[in-house]
Amino acid sequence: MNNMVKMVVTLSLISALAAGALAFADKMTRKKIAMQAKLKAARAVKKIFPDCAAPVERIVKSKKGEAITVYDCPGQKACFIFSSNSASGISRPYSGLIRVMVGVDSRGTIEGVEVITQSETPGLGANIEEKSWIGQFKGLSLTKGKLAVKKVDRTGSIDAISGATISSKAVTGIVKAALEFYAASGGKSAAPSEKARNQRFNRARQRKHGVMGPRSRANRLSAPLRAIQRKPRGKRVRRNKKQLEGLKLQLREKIRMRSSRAMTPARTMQSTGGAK
Amino acid sequence: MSAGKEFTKGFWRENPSLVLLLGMCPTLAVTTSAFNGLGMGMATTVVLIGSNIIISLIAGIIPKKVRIPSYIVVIATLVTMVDMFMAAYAPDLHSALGLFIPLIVVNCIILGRAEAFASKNSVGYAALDGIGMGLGFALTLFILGSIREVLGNGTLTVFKYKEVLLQFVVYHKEAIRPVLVFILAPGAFIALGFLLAFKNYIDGFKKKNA
Repeated sequence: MNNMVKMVVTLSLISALAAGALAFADKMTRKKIAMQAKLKAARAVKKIFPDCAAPVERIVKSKKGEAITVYDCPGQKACFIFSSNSASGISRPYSGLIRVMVGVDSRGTIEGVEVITQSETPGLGANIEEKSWIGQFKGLSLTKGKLAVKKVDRTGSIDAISGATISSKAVTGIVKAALEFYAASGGKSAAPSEKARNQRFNRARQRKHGVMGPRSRANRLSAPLRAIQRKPRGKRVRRNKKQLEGLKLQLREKIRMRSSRAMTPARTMQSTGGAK
Repeated sequence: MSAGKEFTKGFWRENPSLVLLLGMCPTLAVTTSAFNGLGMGMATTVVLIGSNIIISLIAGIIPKKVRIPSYIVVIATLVTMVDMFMAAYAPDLHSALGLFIPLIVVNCIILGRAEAFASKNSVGYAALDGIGMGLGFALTLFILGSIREVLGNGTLTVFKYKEVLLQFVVYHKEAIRPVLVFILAPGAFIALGFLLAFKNYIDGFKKKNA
């Protein structure tokens, strides 16, 4: 009996110590690992769009409810990480999860694909990381070429890796689903054009304040005004028409001063992006 | 036995994968290229040294009947911690070896050495045994990986880290068609079988002449 107690106590003690050590290690490394993951994503963005110095991040919900970070780059280019679990109906990877970053231009054409994480067989499926294979996706879109593996679909545009058809199929499926997600998330361009943004804004304002006449030139310049109205929901300040007119006047003054400097489209985009 | 012998026995006389036939799962699974074999071997060596040291220290206080679960807990904790710290502080190395790290827990070599050697010997000998056995394992995996990669893919990848890639093209795939089966699972068994036979042939030859 005494022996039994000793066994239980020793094993419990060792397990408790191990749990403590793991908790300590987790506490020490958690932040750092999260940071490394972010860095990795940033590096992948750099690889796909080398001249995109400061991508604007935003979160888009996928059909499955997953929050996907989309990195918007100038020229209406965008890239985002999509995994084999992000959409249903993707053919399964050989083992574990594959996450890839897909970069697209304003028309939804693929500019580049980078594998972020994978645990396919080394030497076989792991070759999906090789440039010679993953480079095949460049220039394809939902309408250009066919996102399917040749071995499965003769008209497909992707050559499977020999001995790793399953991995090849999985990546192709992810890329296709990613493009579909992207097309569904905001038209062809993930970053809505200035016009679309204004339209959406006007519609929202009309719903709130009644029709305020046709879109005027002043409205087009009213990005900072939008920033005011777009306060987070709970905290939204209700302003009556008079207050709004006053604010508008103030802002128009500011804009007039600023517009003496040249305002390029890219710049306008950035300023609205920052005001979100 | 002398300290030197404890160290060298892992390379030939008691080579973990060729004589003890331990850790066959990683031996067969990851040796698709020379570097993968080396990487797995190195990661195993680190864990093996750590687990041997810890287990030789705590072996005295563990009751006989619960020693195996205790060892497993220690090994699993160690592997998980190595995995976490590597991910945090050496992300490039982690992305290169990360694949193999969870596999180490189930590697019989670690448990085998803990049970057969570390629990019965002093810390110094246990550490030496860990280094020797680990390096012997790494060497065997490297050789097996080289054979499979050369026959199955026509290349020999010695080193791969970040952007640095040391790879020899032994023959061109266009000129000579590689034997793809050597990269695939059956090739692992075939290559290991020949390697084992070769090792035993040399041992037999030595015995005859001795």
